Parts: sequence; structure tokens; C-alpha cells
Amino acid sequence: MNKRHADAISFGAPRAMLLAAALLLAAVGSAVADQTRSDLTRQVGESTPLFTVATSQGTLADYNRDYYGQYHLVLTFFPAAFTPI
Amino acid sequence: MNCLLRWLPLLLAGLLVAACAPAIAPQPDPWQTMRQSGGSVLWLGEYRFVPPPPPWQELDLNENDLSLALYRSCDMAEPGKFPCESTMAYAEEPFGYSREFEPRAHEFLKRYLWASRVRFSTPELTPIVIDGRQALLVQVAGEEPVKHHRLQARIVFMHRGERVVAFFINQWRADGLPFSTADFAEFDRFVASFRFVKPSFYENL
Amino acid sequence: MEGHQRNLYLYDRFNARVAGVSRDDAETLHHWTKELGLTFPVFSNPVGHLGIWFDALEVGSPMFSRNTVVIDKWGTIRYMQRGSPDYREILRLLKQLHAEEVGP
Repeated sequence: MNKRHADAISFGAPRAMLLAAALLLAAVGSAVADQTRSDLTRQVGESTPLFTVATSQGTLADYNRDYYGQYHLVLTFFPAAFTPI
Repeated sequence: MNCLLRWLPLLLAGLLVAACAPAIAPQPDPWQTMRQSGGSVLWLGEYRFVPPPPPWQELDLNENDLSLALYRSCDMAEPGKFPCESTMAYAEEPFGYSREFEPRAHEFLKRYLWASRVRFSTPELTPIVIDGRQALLVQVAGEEPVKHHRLQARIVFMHRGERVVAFFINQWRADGLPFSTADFAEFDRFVASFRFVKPSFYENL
Repeated sequence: MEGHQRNLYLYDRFNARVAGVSRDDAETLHHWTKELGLTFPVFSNPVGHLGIWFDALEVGSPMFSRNTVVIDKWGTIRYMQRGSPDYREILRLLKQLHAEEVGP
């Protein structure tokens, strides 16, 4: 195994994780600075970020596969199921 | 003299009434600004109806969905205990979602008065016609299972365009107090008088 | 959510779909939607990144705040509104998006 491969296996992944953690911290930091909006928050007129999430119907919703180019999508965020909040 | 004595009580009664007249002067009409000819009122340019007379009063719903509610307490209220009260309403967006009456009635009753912990008896569903229009009358009784407050409710589902709207009245009573047939009669008059004066938002969409 | 269920037939007419989003797990959402009779999906996002992206997660809150977003079929965010859904405003926008889609 040459050095480059060893790097990729033993150091590459942790390095990527460190980078991700740093980005996350940066995001949280900026969110704390601005109590309401994160730098990651999109605005009207911007492209939607892509997402894949589990649904109440036992399926996965994949924005690109299920909505993009086919349907306008209304998303309503709410606090929690079974609460009147 | 005899004649005067005979008429004296009547004279005194007349004087008493005259003296009290300012105290029993009619209250200002709470619907005055909306009142139309014939006694009906025009509500937000959407509906026309004859409101029930005082002591029924409008409830401020603090909502923006064109619904309307009226309330009255009754003479049997026991201060500090459960109030004796009746509430009637028109709901532009009643609980539930079906556009057919019967499934909507069952959806409605799942959420109606949910926070009051009422347990309903089996509802009685009767198709009726109001002013030539199909409607569904639902009559149901209920009870708060711990405090034993009792409830009688009457709900009328109708269509406005392709959507279902509802009128309802409920009467809450402490155990042992009678329900008011007069309140139900006021409700029936209110429903019968109700007219949509223009197509709804959804009909125009 | 019941308001969306009431309007599904109109969303269909305007070529739109609707979903709820919360931080509940999918199993809880399954039971909840079944009890409410909702026939549209509710997305489960326990990590909360959808909330960050769409301005529904305030710092310090474990739950999303109420917020409605409309994404057109071309992938552009067209509407973001905090608070309970304004169903009439949403319907008017969907009608407009549908008109853009089908052309004059």
C-alpha cells in the first residue's frame, strides 16, 4: 500500500469528518450570532436544496425523484405530532 | 270617590312604569351597523342572516376565517360552579375535510369539543332540506365523564360551492339541569335565515 | 394540516403536492397522520436540517416553528411564510404557478 492509499484509508476519512464538523460549528456559530436565521437558510428566489427524508407513509421522499420537474411542492413545518402547540 | 279608589292602583302602577321607563329603555342594537331592511344583518359582505335576539351576543373568535359565533348564558348558572351556557356558530371551515356530508360529520365529531373531554353518544343523522338545498342534520348528546356535565348539540352541514360548511349549537348543563328547547328553536331560525350573498373564495378561485 | 387535507383537490388542480415536516420519527408521524386521516405524506426530519434550510428552526428550540414554503416545479423557492399556513394565500400562489406552467 503506498502512502497515498494509506492516507485515504487511515487519515482521509477522519479529515473529511473534521472538515464537516468545522463547517457545522461554523453554521451553529453564525446561527447563535443571529438568533433567527442561519447562513444556511435559503431565501425566496433561490434554488431549493435537495433532500431525501423518511415519510409518515413508510416511504422515502426524494425531492429530485418525486417532485422536481413534476409538481409544485408546499411544505408546512410544524412543531410536533400530537401537540396543539 | 269609590271610582277613584278603584282606579288608584292602576294609576299608581302607571306612574311606576313611567318612572321606570328610562331604566328599561331598549338596549342599543349590537348589530345596528350591519342591519338591513327586514331585520337581517349583512356579515362582511358574505352572508345575510337574522341574528337571535339578546341575551344572545356575538363571541369574538379572533380568527380570520369568516366564521361567526354567538353565545348566551342561562338563568340557571350557579356562580362558581359550571356555567349554564349555549353557543351557536356558523363555521366556514368546519373540522374534517370530506366534501360529502356523512363522512364529514364523523370527521367533525372526532375534533368537535375535543378539549372539553366530551364523550358523545351515537349521533343521529337526518338528511333535511333547507330553502330547497340539501343538508344533513346531526343531533348528538354527550357527557364529560368525570364531572358529569352534560351536552346536547345540533349540527347542520350544508354546501357552499363544492365545500362543506356547518352550523352548530351546543348546550352545556350541569347534571340535572334541563336543556332549552327555546335555544334550539333560535338556532333553527338562525340557520333558516342564513343566505350566502356572493360566491365564496373557493368558488372564485 | 387538516386545512391542507381539505384543499387537496385544489392542489391537484394546480399540479401541486403538499407535505408536512416535523422532527418526529417516521413511526410517530405514521400513527398521527392515520389518526387525523391525512392522506398526504409528512416528512420526518429528526436532525432538523430542513428546518435550518427553510427557516423553521430557531436556535435553542427542539422543535420546528410553524412555517410554510412553496417550491415551484422548477426547483425555485417561491414563498416562505412564518406562522400558521395562510391557505388562501397559498392557493392563490399555486394558481399563479399553474398559470405559469401551462402558459397563456
